[in-house]
Amino acid sequence: MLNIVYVIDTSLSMRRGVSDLVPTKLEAVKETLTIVTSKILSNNEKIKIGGVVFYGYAYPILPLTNDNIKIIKTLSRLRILGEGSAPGDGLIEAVKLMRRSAGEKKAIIITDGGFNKGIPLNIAALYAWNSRVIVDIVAISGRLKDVDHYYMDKTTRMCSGKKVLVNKKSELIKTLLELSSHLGNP
Amino acid sequence: MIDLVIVAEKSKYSRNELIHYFLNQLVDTLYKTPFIRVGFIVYCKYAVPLIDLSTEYRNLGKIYAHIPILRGVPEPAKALYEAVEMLSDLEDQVTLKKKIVLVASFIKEPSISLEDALEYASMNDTRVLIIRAPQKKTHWILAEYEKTPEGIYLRKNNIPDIINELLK
Repeated sequence: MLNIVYVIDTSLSMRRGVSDLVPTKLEAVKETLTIVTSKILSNNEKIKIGGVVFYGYAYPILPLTNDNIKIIKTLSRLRILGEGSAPGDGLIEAVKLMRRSAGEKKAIIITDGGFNKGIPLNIAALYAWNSRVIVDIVAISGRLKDVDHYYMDKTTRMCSGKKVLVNKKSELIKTLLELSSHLGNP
Repeated sequence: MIDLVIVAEKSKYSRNELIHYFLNQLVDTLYKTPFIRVGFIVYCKYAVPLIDLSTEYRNLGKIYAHIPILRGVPEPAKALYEAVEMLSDLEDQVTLKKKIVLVASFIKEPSISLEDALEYASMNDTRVLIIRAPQKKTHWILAEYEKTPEGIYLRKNNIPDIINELLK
């Protein structure tokens, strides 16, 4: 069994568009995840998907499931939630969501950076690492700062994952499909 | 099976080296004790779960040492709620007792009521042992402390007694 939790940035900056990620980055992420989850679920029965959102706070929005209708419904309700960006809190919620699950575990953080709230991502990564959760990060370029890269690099290195920078919808789809289909670096 | 969550403060107000020493001694003893699962949470302003309840907690002391000193005013109640959630989430048929050991400085008055959090833990059939490890003397906790007779000051020479108390 493979468990994947998408940790989605719903902070104010995701309200803007960039390149062909329009009308907003969040809308583009919603559209992409709808395509990606439908595809990976149709190819693999032994996969469960969950969801967490973060801004200045973080909370779960979708318990682990392979019910695609539930997933699509949840994605359609995603919206900008507020100021601040606390990906560390988001990662912790994702690991908690997979607490009782057997099998391989992966969290995929989708963000445009600007981390400024909550538990530092690299400390949250310790919990993911102890819980054997692989952490990948899909970073939408445009407003990423050095400090964001520092936290993302530390986290993905510690948790055997990948950091991928994207700027276009085709890259976003390709990256999410790839990361959602494989477990990551051994 | 005893399920035990260790909740340790790491702030500029707590005696972090002493806490680290205590954690190492505790883990050494627990590892010789059968039927124990341990979880680990570090906190200051935020509570960070680091190890979910399991029998693989050997590196707990190292992890505590690795974490930088966390910023803000410590909120022990937040960490207690996190610990109760961990115990409830991972409770199963083999769970016999649920315990939390809270190591705190109690130097700064937190904004979330510790008394309410202790009550909540008790309603969840969880015993909380409070250990105080402040950098300096403080007074705000006294009222709460009097209601919590299990509170103990952490010193190098009473660590074996604390561990015995914990394993009772």
